[in-house]
Amino acid sequence: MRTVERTTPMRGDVSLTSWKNLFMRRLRTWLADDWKTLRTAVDWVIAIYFIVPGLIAAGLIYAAWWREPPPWLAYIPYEIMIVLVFVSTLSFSVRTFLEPADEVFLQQHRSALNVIRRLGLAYSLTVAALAAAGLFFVLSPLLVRGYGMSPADVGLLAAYTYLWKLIVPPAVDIFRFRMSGWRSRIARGAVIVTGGLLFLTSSHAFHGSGSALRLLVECLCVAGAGSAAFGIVRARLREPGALRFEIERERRARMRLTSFLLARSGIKEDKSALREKRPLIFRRSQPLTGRRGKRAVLMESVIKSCIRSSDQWFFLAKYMWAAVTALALTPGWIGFIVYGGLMFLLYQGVRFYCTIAVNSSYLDLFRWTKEERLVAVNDAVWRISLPAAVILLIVLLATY
Amino acid sequence: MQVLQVDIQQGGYDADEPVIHDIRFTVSQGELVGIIGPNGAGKSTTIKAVMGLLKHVTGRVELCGPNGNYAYIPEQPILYERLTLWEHLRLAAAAHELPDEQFHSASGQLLRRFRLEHVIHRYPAGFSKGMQQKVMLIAGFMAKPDLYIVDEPFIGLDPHAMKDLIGLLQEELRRGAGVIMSTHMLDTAEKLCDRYLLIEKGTIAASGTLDDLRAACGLPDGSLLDCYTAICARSDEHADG
Repeated sequence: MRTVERTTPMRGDVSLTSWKNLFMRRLRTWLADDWKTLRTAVDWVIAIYFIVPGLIAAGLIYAAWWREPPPWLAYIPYEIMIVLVFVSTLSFSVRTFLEPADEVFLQQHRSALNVIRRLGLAYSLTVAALAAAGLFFVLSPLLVRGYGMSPADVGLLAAYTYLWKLIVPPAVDIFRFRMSGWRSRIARGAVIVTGGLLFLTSSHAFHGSGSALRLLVECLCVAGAGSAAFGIVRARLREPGALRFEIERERRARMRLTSFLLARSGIKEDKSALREKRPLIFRRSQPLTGRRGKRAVLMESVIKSCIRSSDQWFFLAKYMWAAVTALALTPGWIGFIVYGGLMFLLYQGVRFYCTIAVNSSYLDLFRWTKEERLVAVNDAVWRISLPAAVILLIVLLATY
Repeated sequence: MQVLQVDIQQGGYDADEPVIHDIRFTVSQGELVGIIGPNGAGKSTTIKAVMGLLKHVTGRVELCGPNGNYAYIPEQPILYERLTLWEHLRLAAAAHELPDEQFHSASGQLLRRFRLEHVIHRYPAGFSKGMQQKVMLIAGFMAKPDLYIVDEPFIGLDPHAMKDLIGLLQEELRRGAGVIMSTHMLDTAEKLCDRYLLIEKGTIAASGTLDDLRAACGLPDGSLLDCYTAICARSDEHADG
């Protein structure tokens, strides 16, 4: 009998453990990079003057909520709270840590891709569970003391919310894969609105006087959401085009990290493909101001580049939400100090995006001086920040 | 009249690790100088050194044209994600401090020439590679500088656009601009370039007209590819020996 000595690995030779190791290595790298970014963003000045006092203040406020619900909670109906909880469910995404090269090198190893994607799903589900637990840890004094829910109700609502995280965003992804352009946007919007209405309606089951029947209904809601989540997540993973989308999403996630680190070093960003063909704001490339000249055009480009970025809007929305909450919770003159801190954070945040824009490689093709870039960033930062600063000042004065 | 004088003793990305050395050449008005050489030979590093983008350079680079300006057209399109094609061009025009009339007239002509006038209010980051390369060409050619530094300009262009680019380069040469063009497309370079710099292992292995290269490698009827192959082989033999 002739024996053949194999000198090169064949398809299927690589063990399951290797792919697990590959995934774990990527996850560790990602977490290390994330930590590095956080360390870069939160230097000791921010930590000492903002983060630590903020955490202490938050702890004190949290303890006070358990003793007595805040007076403003009386003006917030349960439905509004549920809508806000629903908004938190939209943040779920399946992280796979796939890389562009995987599409080429692992195409022959479908089992490897499946292992990596399954591990990615497990990681994403864990992160989502932790996020939901964290949210309900924060909300529990309001729900228990303010809305009179029992701890069991809160626990089941937390589980229900977690499962909705696995329903709406994956369903949105499915429509993203199946449609394009305005049809996709409308379909995705419809999924979110319908999901929100269903969540709002069904969440009433968790609020009210305690009875065995209501507890049973709550459990049925959770079970129903669980089976829906299982089906939708499975369909989402099997959807044609999902793999490429995941690779692109990972690439963008890495680029965001890289852009941040490079921008902090004053270097440049990298580019990624766009889905939108033309802008939603200034659709016909209208100039922002009547000013002409080198510096004005550079400043305009920086502003447009920032205000057209969904990341920037997402940052501003999150910032405004946190800032308005912080101002509403802060009593008396302390609000002015908090306002000062918020302005500093706003300045830093907007400056970060503007710095990325002004360090673009495109500008390196021409002779822009460092001074011209700096002036453009400074001009752009206050113009972008001004509306938010005014709104927060109004909130501060109204709550003072 | 010369538009560029280059005398680089050495240059690289780290101070103690030079990538290029002894690079000396000039570019005159109306002259197209082709930079050719194998991958990793130092062509792009030379271009970066000429543009002042290389951190560690010992030597002198002088833009000595009437306006002392240049336009760089990179190999890989570099674009903003969130600026439209028109806004990219406006930014390029602002960088070159072009008057409004000149900007509108030059950009309009170039947009028509490269058939991009229907997408001026779209994001070029979503264009095909060839269309993005056209954006780079328009941004570069709009300013009508003394010198063009063009890195692999034909990659990704369709035949029609290649013809347009060659026509445009020839028009600019007639106007009096100088051009340095790095390329691997030797048959095209042979038809276009007045002189060549063959860069090998970080330095100029041969330079001059096609006849000069033929004489240097003893191939009186050789094509640019023949000369290139012979000179690179000789350079490898020297390195081995």
